[in-house]
Amino acid sequence: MALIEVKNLKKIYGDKEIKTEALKGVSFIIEKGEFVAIMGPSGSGKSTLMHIMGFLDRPTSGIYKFKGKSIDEYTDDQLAEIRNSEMGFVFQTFNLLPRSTVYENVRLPLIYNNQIKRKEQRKLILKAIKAVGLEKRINHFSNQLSGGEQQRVAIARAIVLSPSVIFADEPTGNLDSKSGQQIMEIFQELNEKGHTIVLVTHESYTAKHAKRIIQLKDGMILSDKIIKDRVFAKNGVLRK
Amino acid sequence: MNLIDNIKISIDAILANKLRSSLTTLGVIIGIAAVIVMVSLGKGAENLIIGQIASLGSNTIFIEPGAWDPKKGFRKGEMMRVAMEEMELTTLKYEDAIAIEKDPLIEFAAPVVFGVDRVVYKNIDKKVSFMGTTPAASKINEVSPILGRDLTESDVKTMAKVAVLGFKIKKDLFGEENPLGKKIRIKNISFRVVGVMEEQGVQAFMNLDEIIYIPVTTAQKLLLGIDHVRWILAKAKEEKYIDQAVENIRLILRERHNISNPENDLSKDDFKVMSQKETAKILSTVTSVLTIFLSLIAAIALLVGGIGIMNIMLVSVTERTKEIGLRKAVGAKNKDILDQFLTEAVILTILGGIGGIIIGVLSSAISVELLQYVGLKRWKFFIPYSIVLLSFFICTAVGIIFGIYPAKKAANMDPIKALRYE
Repeated sequence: MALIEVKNLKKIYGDKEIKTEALKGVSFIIEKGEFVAIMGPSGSGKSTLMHIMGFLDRPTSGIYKFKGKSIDEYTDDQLAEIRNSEMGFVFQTFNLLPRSTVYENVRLPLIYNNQIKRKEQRKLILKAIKAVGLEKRINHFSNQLSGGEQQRVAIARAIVLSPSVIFADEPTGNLDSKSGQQIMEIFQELNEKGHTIVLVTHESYTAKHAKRIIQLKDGMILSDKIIKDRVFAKNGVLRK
Repeated sequence: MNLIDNIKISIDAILANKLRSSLTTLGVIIGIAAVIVMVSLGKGAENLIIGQIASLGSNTIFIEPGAWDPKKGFRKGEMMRVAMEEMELTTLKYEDAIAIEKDPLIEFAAPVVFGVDRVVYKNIDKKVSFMGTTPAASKINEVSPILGRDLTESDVKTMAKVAVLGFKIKKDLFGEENPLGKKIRIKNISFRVVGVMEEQGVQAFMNLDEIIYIPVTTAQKLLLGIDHVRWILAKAKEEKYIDQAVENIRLILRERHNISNPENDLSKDDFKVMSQKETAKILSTVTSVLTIFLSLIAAIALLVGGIGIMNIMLVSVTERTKEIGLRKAVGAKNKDILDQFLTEAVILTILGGIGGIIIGVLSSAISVELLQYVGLKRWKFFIPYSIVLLSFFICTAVGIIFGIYPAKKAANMDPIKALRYE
């Protein structure tokens, strides 16, 4: 069973008079453990696609199955529950809570999850913070951190509940190249450990950190292929 | 999402905008302070009145000249005029009191006249109130002299020029000096001081310690030149027969005043007989009207306060659109967001309520100090616990009523639009 199955997916915005077709029928499958980059210029529909895959939006038509079950079978509250436990989000603008510490930010998904006991919560949070190498910043407030560190907090927040898939929307877009490289390194490490990652970007260099690229243009798939000249962020070395 | 997290998030948000939050709660603070002050002073007044009524004894009966007209005197601005008119009525006589006292259900009946004049002792010259009455008055009030003796029946019969001083008058005129046997002059007539009354305080809005007591007959003939009495104070032997005693007094007075009134139509009489029960009833209608009026003011203040809360919550929701989007992305359900903003509104109003309670209690305490300073010594500071609880309840209600719309607005936001909001 595929983790993500998309078939002839369409998304139309607006009312009857002014219609914008953001997605004109896309189909693909993402298996568990993949690292897929969805690439395309702005307006290509890549963000829309990520929002639908991330259960933040519903398609106008077509099929989207997550873990074999169609999005149509869930209520909004169930979508929220799946976003919470099965999906992690990393945004371009970090979106950390202001006036809150690293710990509190990473804890955010846990306050909306009543499956996990308080004792366990702490363990999970510390583990996630360790995974992004911010142990020493645990009680720092988010505004005391650099951009790269803030994005690492956001990644920790995304992985705290060990989701089935991490959606990253232009995660390096607001960072300098060095911080960006560190972030990509973390994603590659996470992927090595078995996390499925869907990366949305318009930069082909960033996209090459993934294993597979789906290229979009005007709401349609231009190409879908395995990356041959993959970039490894670790030590900035290119490896085959 | 549990309540503790909710409260923590709300408090963080409130503290992030301290000035704005405090200004927002001002309306609620004023509203709740108004409620507290109103209830505190209202209860204080009620207790004072009840205390005075109780100090007269629950089987005391009050007889005044003038017909009973429940509508009269309670119309706007008429209270004073009616009181003045009644002052001029001459229908009640000293002999009426004697006749009432003979009734088997009545223990005592004291006729009372009242006047204000200058009293002179040595070089002290003071304007004071004097009360002409009989020994029965002290018995009804259950007071006795601390020095010398009270008025006697023979003082009344012989129209003796003797005076019993109120506790404070004695201090004003004589200081530490022993006043017994000394001569004071009221309206240029010499009176011999025979006693000093114990401290009595305020009763029926008269400070009994600032009154000189003289025989009713002396007051009528020598000081006032009248042959009627201002009112008669009577005491029934037993409280359970008080209604019967009131009826008996009516029959006695009708017979004495030649009033044929078999249908017991009180407006046909030329007198009013009231037991404490009825006095209390009249006073309670006055206080309840006052309470309704003040409650209305408090309600308006809370309405304005609530609108302020709603306004600032709408601002807060708009400001935190992105945060709402993020929370939804990481798994917050609509209800979680609704709860969060509702909690924030309720905490804001409750904080306002706590401020209001503190300010209200302080204002009440200061008001009572002032009231005591101007002479209402028996006015006690009083805050019923129920009103504090009620205040919290009102705050919560205001928070929910005025917070629900902004909270719903936040809860129903589209997560994507919220995330993209700049």
